[in-house]
Amino acid sequence: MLSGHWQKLRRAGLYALGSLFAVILAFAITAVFLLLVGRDPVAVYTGIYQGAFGDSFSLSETLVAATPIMLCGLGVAIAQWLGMMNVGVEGQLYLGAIGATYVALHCPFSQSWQMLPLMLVAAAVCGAFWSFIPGLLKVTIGVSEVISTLLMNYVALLLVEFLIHGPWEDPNNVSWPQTAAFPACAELPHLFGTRVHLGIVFAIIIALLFAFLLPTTKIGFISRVIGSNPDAAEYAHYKVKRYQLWAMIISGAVAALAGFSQVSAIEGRLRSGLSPGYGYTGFLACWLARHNPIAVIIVSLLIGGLLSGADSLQLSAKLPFATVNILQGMIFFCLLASEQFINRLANSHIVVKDLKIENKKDPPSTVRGEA
Amino acid sequence: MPEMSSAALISRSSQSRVGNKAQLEELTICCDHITKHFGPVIANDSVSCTIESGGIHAFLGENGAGKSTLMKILSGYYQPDAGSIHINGEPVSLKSPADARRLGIGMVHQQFTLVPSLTVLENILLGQADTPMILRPKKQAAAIAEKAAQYGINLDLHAPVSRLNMAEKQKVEILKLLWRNARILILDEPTSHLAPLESAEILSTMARLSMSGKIVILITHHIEELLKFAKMISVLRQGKLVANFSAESVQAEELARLMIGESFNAEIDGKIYSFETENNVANLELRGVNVKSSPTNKALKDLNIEIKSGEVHGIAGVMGSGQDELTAVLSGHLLPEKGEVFIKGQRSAWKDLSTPHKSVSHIPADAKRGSLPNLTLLENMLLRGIHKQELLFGPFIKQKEAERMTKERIETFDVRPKHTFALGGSLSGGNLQRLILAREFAKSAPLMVAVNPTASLDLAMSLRIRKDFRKYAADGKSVLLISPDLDELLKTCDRISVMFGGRVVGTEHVSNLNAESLGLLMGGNDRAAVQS
Repeated sequence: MLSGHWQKLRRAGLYALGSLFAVILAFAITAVFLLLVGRDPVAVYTGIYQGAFGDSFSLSETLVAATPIMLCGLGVAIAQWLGMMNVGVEGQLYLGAIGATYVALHCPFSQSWQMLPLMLVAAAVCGAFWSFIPGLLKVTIGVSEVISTLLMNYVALLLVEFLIHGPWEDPNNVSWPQTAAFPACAELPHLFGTRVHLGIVFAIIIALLFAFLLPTTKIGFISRVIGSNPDAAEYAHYKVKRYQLWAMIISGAVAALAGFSQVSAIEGRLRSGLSPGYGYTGFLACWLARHNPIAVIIVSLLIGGLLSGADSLQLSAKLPFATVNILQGMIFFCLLASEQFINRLANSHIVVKDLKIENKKDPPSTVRGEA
Repeated sequence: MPEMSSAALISRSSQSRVGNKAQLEELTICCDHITKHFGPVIANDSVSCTIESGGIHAFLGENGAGKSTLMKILSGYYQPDAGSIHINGEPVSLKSPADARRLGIGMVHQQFTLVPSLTVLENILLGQADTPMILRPKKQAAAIAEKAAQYGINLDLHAPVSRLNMAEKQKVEILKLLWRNARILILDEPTSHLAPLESAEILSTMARLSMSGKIVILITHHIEELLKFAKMISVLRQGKLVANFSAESVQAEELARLMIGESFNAEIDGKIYSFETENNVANLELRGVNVKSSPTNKALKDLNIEIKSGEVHGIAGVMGSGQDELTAVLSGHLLPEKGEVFIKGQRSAWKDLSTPHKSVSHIPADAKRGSLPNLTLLENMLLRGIHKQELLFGPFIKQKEAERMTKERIETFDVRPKHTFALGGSLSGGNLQRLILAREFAKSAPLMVAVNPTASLDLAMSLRIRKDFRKYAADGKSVLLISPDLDELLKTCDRISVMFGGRVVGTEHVSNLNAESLGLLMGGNDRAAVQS
């Protein structure tokens, strides 16, 4: 008989292996696709690797691309722990960018230590407000947060369009839809003289913090109960709705940090193409990581590598950027398919052992489906 | 309970007429030395038996005795390691449920497989291999109605399943099989969630079916019931067939002994306590409690109930008489529209739900609601104790303390597997229920509200739990036991309140009650009529 700890480890190992297998499968299927269009998959994949981790420049670009994905992924994870599916991190990212931009353009500070914290707070508040609305709709009148968060992404994007074409338009350059450049004090510090910035530090701190608090604290426990079985949480008199609303608020605030760090450290101004879908990629990263905060960091690094690798692929192999989107989509698909399979494996030996005590197991689900 | 006894009479008398029905095709299914292992565990150990039409054939056994495994082999879900199955002497191969279905074997599982939002008709047509692409509901409805009438099943085909009660849902499941021309019907614990009258109705329907040439196999651990309705009884214990005889030739005590084996003791039939609570103070009293009506649930109407300290107080009643609402009010999940609550004689301000839930442990009817399948046993234990100061260090949970507590509790209640990191979802029904019981007993609240707590437990464990309830109450606490099992109520409680239409229509000491008078009260007859 396996001892408790071993069993826990075995389960974690199975999930890690399962994810790995899903990713490998995705690469294999995409390889078939590449062969069909007449490319050598080995060369393409080596190209992606070189572009992602080949030298210090590619590595720093990978980290830059991974940062907003990490923050968005963590945002998704926080809501998901309490059973709320936040598809709106993209919009919350934009709201964070709007909040930070407002402070950068309108506050007459000249010191970074004054400017940056205020930008951060403004961004977090705006992002939190954006996720608070669907959260409130969900817990009060039961509007599906999946739909409302998704739709609010478009509203956020249009809001940005409105601001950069209207009130916040760059007075010096009317032809480009963007705001004026931020003052120097509104630029988030960069690390090691590269484009890598403080945002990645935020992401890692947030991930570590949650990884530590979630399993060890009372609030973390209650959150996990709500996420795993809201009925039981209700039965135990937990304040399910209040917790879920707070999860949405914090989720939006964390995602907003991605917007803040993008405008502050990378763009230096607000413009509409700020995020090439970091929110959605973060969503993918979160599910790949099975909502585990540390795993979100690792997966985001890999996806960041994929993205920056794709950039160089476009130049070297003359393959469209969409190739990487296909690969990403494949990974997500394989991962979802592997989920059930792993679940069954993870509990298999217990189920069998348990039969001597009871055999009131439901018939296999495939069979039940026919009934 | 006149309905029940007359139903029993029908089944008995029709059994005696079986010889005259020579025109009906005789059907037999024969298991020949069926053996099935799961890893090192033998679920079925060379089981041989012959099952015939013309009367219900019941399989009796404790949880884990191998009944369900045998039935799943018969219905093609499992393949035996050794042994063979013959229908009318022909060997058959059951490689899949589809094979079994082709041969006319159908099973009704304990958990219904109905779609609540669809009508009865739609549910019956659903998933049939020969349902045409374009449904012609009228034509189909007529044919199904005819089939239903043929077997005396009374159902509104156009009612949505969500509006049906448990017994009606059970009938839909049966009709579904009949519509597929099943000739061998297997029912897994069909009455475990039914009130006695409903059970009697279902079982007499089944008896009728078996008379008309179908094989009806019933899995149960409810002895009284099958003595009334079954013709043949097979008893399984630890995977072996230990007895096989006609229901007329056997006594309840003997069956219980065969079922449990060595550990059987004399407590099975007698009351397990002698405790006088007449003069005790009330731990909790509800006066004039009203709960708002919703379209699907009957409300509570001026409900009065008094639960004394040291008392196990039973609630009997047909399902949907307001038991769910009463439970919700007591466990602090529902704030009554009006009404007063007295705790130990003190009137309590009832402005929010926090008052009741701190002083009530609660065993919910559905184990899924009381447990966390994706979290560990340790976390399952913490579910209701997370606010306890001794488990917390500031905002942090004391892991060692929590683990020690969990180990202790799963040891006392014999939850298996024994390690604290196993997932809740890996536990079987009985173990899960024991886990919940362990947790709620440990809460040690002045009042325990238990809803159908022994439904998924075997007899030995049920007896233990009933004794534990008595012990719990003996400390000056109280237990409110809500159960459809009248036998359990009569053997465990001091007093029983009967609910009907959202109110308590009578509260009596058990010494003044028996199953029959309880049954009458549950049907809405007033007390005077019962006593006369």
